[in-house]
Amino acid sequence: MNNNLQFSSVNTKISSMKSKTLQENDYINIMNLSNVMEVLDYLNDNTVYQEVLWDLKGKEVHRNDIESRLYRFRELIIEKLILYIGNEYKDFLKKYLLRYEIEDLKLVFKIVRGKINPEYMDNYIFTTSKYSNIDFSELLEQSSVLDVLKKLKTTKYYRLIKPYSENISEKFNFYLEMVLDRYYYNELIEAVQRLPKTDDEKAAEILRRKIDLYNLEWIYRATKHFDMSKEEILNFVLGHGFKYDYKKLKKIIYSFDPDNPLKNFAGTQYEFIFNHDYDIDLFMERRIDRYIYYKALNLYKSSILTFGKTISFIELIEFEIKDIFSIVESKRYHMSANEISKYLIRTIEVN
Amino acid sequence: MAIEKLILMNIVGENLYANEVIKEILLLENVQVEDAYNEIENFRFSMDVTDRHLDEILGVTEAKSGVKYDYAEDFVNKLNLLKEIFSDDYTINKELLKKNVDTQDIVDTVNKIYNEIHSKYDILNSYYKDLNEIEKSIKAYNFISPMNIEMKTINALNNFNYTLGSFSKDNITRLKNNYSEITAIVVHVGTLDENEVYVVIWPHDLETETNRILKSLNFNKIEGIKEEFKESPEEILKILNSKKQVLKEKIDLLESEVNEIKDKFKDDSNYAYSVLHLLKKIQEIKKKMAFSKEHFYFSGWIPIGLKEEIKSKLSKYIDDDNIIFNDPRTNAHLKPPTKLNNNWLFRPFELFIKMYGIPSYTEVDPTPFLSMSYLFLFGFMFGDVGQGFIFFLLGVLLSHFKGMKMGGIISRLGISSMFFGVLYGSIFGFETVIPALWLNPFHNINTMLVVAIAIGVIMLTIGYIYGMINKYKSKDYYNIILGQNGLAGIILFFCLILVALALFTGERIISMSVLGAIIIFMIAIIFMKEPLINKLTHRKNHKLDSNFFVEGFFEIFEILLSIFSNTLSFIRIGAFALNHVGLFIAFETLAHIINSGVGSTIVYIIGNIFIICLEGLIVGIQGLRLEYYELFSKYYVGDGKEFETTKL
Repeated sequence: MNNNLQFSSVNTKISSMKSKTLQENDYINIMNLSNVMEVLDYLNDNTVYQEVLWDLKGKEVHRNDIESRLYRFRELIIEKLILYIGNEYKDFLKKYLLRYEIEDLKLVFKIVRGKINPEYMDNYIFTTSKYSNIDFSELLEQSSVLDVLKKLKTTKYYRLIKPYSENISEKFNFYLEMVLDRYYYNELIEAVQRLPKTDDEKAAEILRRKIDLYNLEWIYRATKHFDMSKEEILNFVLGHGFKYDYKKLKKIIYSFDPDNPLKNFAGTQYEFIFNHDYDIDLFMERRIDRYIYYKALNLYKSSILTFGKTISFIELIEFEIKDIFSIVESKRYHMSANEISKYLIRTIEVN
Repeated sequence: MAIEKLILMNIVGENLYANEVIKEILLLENVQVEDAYNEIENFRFSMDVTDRHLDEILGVTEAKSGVKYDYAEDFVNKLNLLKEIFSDDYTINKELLKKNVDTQDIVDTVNKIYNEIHSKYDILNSYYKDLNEIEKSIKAYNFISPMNIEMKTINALNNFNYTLGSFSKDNITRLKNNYSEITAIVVHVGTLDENEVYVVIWPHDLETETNRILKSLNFNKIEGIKEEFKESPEEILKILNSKKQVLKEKIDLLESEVNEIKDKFKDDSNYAYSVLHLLKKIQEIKKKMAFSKEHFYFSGWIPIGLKEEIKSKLSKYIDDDNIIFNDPRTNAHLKPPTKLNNNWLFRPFELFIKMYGIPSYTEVDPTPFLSMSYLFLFGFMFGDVGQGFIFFLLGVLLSHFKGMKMGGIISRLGISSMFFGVLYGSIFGFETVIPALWLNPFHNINTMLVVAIAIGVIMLTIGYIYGMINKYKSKDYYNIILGQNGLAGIILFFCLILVALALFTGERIISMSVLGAIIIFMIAIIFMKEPLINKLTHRKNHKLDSNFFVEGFFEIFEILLSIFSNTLSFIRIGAFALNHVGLFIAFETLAHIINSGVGSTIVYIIGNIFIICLEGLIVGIQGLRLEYYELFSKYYVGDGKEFETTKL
């Protein structure tokens, strides 16, 4: 197919979907609402999120409900994009969907291990897409981690989880999250690097920068808060970073000082995570998200008939959902719009 | 024929006989069980009110749903025992079940079989387990077999520990890049699937650190290395292999013994299985019944013809008066399910009906008309003796070997196609081999198209008539006369056709002004239908506001348009009949161009395959479209529920 034509249909679809995302005044409106119910009603009455929230209308809802529905929305968007995009790109987008399969898997293990009260089970919905081959209702019927694992024998997860299943310790959950997340990002980045066109490198860059930032966050937090050896920390870093490969990360880990994190990063592009006097921990994630958000926005605007448009759109949707969720969360603490805006990824001026 | 008459059967009996009664009902396999408690709750459970049945009647007030009946755990457990040992597919033997069944006897049999076989079976299972362990060890020691040292020396090391396991490729790179900081020695010894196998050796003092590093690298331990093996790996392998051999022989022996016992009990166990299965089913049905202290209440739909048979079968257990039949023809509030019952010619076409929706109980079964018209349409569009024969064969094969219901339809379509093939004089596309009994489509294009429209008019008329019968049956009398698919609609339809006829042929059967007047009158009737019906039934009058007129206008517009388009839609059958020939002509031309015996033959064969696959599919779909859209919209609703019997 013609180079440019390949993206014309998916880009048209994206433009139409983008036009339905929230506008600045939508954010201001929901920030000014007084409770979760009102936010839910607003989203149902005025936004495209009605697609996944309609049946919650007028019900007493838990925050988890809204969160998983919103993620389902992003998943639906990716599923739709798969239909419009060329074959080489379909496989990559399917890797994005792995994330939901993995999140559901984590949930299954929590439930099977009795970490979630079955009474509140209704608050969790499974978001796995039609591209998943795992039968989650079957997994939920199992009574132990080993039984679940048996059912997963034919999947790639089996080899990943098995080493930790022999004697289940308190750290099982930690290892589970670490190996599964690492698996997800590995699959995603390897897939993005296999994409055929030279333009696709720009699309890959945004994901690889994300890897950089997540790695730095991990090193900072693990050194500061966890009782872990440097070797362990190093073994859990994600591969395929943009600026920091394994060797550079190794150097950082062995010389990192959590009380003076700036030492290793002064003058680098990622200085912004650490060059604050206070609240490094509190705002670290938001700062990372905001950095990627503007990168994505930039990529979105500069992509004409390239894959960058698709990937940046998916990222932008992710940030929109995160922001909506921050607002919902803040309703619990009765925060003012002005205060809420500090925790949002996008910058919104509130008077 | 068509939709079978059903009747609601209520049974009240003594709890003592509940199992026997359910068994008789189950063996009939022709009853749709309804939730009796639900029926009672909704005052639908009717029974004879006489002095003799005072207990039964009083019982109704205290009847409780059978849902609480536990899930026959006993039987299920026993069933599972049998399944575990025999693991064969049992067949349910209905003949045996018809005789008297002694439950206790069966439970004893199962226990007997189990006792006799179970100790041997346990030993066998433990052998399997041992074999598995040995195989694991063989696999593990294979990796370190080149090591020329006795394992006891290694196991006796005071300050070092070791293990065997695998890393994924990605983690190997991480390991290699940080060799200098790792608290253990790692030695590569082989590959397993896609992973690399390593021996890891570490000092006791660094146990925790090493374990954590291994965990962070997703290290997967390989089981099978055991303290009890003290020799060198090579010798260990020899010992293990001979052990394996011995064990295998033992297993073979025991397996044959177990099989012998199985054979001995084959019939007994099969009988037990059937009975247990029956008991399980009975328990399931009990959940749908209601029970009072002394009586049970059962409710279900049966085909009306089964009435006497059931009565005589149950007479042993229940008084005649306690089996009450409730006929939906006299009780309008009953909503019976629909049981389609067609002869062999039409039966496969029920598939098409079910795809659209089952007719409701009061509707006329559209299957006969759909079958006939679909056969006709398909044959008309795809008339060819040879290709039809292929369809016929294909259909027979599909239904015979694959059991596909579609096969029945395809073989019938094949016959219809052959019939029209004779009329058109076409065999595998060639029109010169056999004479046409009627005409060659391609030489009579106009005739084909006109005939197509005529067929459309006839079929639509039948559709209108069907629709009116359905309206009559559902007591929608006003719409029979005034509705757009009723008498008014049909008159409008014919007048418009006469006008069209006059315009194109000049043939005036009725003068144009009369036709015009009738058309306007009919449109007015349909337009004013709602207010008219309200007036006649003395209901609240319809508001004649602007909304009404706008809606009405568009409705009339749509009706006129659909009369026009539905009729013209049938041109397609003529067009596809021509198309069918046209496609062949294309291949014929190709064959002429090639002009060599073998080449041309190949083109003819490919052409025929192409026509059968593509044209066959298209014609099939177009025919179905005419049925579903043009015709069903005239007469068919299809909102019924299927009659679902409880099977053994």
